[in-house]
Amino acid sequence: MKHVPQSAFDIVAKLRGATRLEDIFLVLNSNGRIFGYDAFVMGHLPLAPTQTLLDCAILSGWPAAWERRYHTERFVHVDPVIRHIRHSVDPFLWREALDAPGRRDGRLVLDEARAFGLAEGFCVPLHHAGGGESGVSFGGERFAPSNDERAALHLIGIYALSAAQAILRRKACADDKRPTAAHLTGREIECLKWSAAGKTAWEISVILSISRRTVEQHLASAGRKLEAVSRVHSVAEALRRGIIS
Amino acid sequence: MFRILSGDIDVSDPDLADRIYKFRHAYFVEYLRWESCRRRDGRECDQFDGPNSIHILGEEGRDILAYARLLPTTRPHLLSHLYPEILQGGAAPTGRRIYEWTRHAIAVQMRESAMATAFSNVVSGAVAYAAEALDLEGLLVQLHPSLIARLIETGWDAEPLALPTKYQGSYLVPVYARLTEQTLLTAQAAFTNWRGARLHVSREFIRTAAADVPTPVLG
Repeated sequence: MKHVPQSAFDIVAKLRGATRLEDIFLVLNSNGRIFGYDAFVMGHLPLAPTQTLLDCAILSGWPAAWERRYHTERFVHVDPVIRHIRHSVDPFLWREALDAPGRRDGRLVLDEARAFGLAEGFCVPLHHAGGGESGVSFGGERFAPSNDERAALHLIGIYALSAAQAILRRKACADDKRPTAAHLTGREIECLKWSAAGKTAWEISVILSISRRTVEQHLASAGRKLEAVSRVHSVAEALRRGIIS
Repeated sequence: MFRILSGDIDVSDPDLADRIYKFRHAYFVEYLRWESCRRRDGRECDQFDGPNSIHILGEEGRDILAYARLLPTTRPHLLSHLYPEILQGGAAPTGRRIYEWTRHAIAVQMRESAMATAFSNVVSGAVAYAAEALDLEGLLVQLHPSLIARLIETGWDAEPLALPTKYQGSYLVPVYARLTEQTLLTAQAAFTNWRGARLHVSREFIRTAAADVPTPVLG
């Protein structure tokens, strides 16, 4: 069974280097044979009763017909696996989710999944600092992972979820509005204006009657907010965004 | 707010050492229920605590808000001497520039505050700045697999050293967390977002050139 750990480490290395969700998808989609799964899905738990699979899924390798059925029937609110994610920090087999109290009514979801080639499955949950849960589920017709395979999928699942989270966070940051003049303080803008006019930090400290150290702090803070790498860059960015003219 | 202390405090400041070991007992024994660490005198202290260990302490007045212990890997540490079996035959990097990050703990009032995540980010930042001051390449850490996500979120480059296994009933995985530019950028952001966040590093610990010490770190 030596090849399972090594495969797991190779896959984790690829996930650590993933810069797009497609990279993660390709890695998880192409390695099923090693561990015995046919399909996988990654998503976060529904945040509202109105949400369905399409709102929650981050990556789906589920058979398309099952996706449609799951979405139309709003199974994301009935699925015992989803409910079990809330209560478990450790990975579990889908059938273990049924053993938990009050989950028997969710059995119909797992029974229907069978018809789409997903008779058995294994889920790796992740609870996020600050709230919220997500998970990645691996499923298949004859999927019976050994202890080693489960340990490997546990590690792979965590890294896949972490990589996806990082990519989504970067996307969210990029989509945020750039800091406008309102995000820089009056003093920061003043210091930048004088810097743009060619004044040194010492000269600015005399002009504004504050210490040179304070001027440096204002310029450094402005630089951080503008994501600039140098004072010249700060001035250029501020000009570009119309914060100073 | 944060400072680095050497294990010498057992001798040089026994009152502080006492408060630290009691803080650890409250967290690891009472809260996490690590029964094997329980001690009748209520001070959680093990065979790895000594003059070569390093304490990272986050305080507000006399209250300890956060704590972490770093152990040199050039001497016996948890992964080499307590539970080497979790490596399952794999190898772990060791050396002068690699320490082991252990006993990471946060006080209850910070864990349960609305700012819990922001504070947790600051603590990770303090560990990163400490590692930077000590001129470390990275830290060995053994943790629950789901906490790998937190390591990654706080900018560490986390490389697994073995598959997860069960240790005393919980999943544990050994990881090598490399200190990178991203770790320090994340630390900087966390410190910027927390009023008063500073790491005090006394001269004895600074191994990098003075010019390299980052701004929120005071010598």
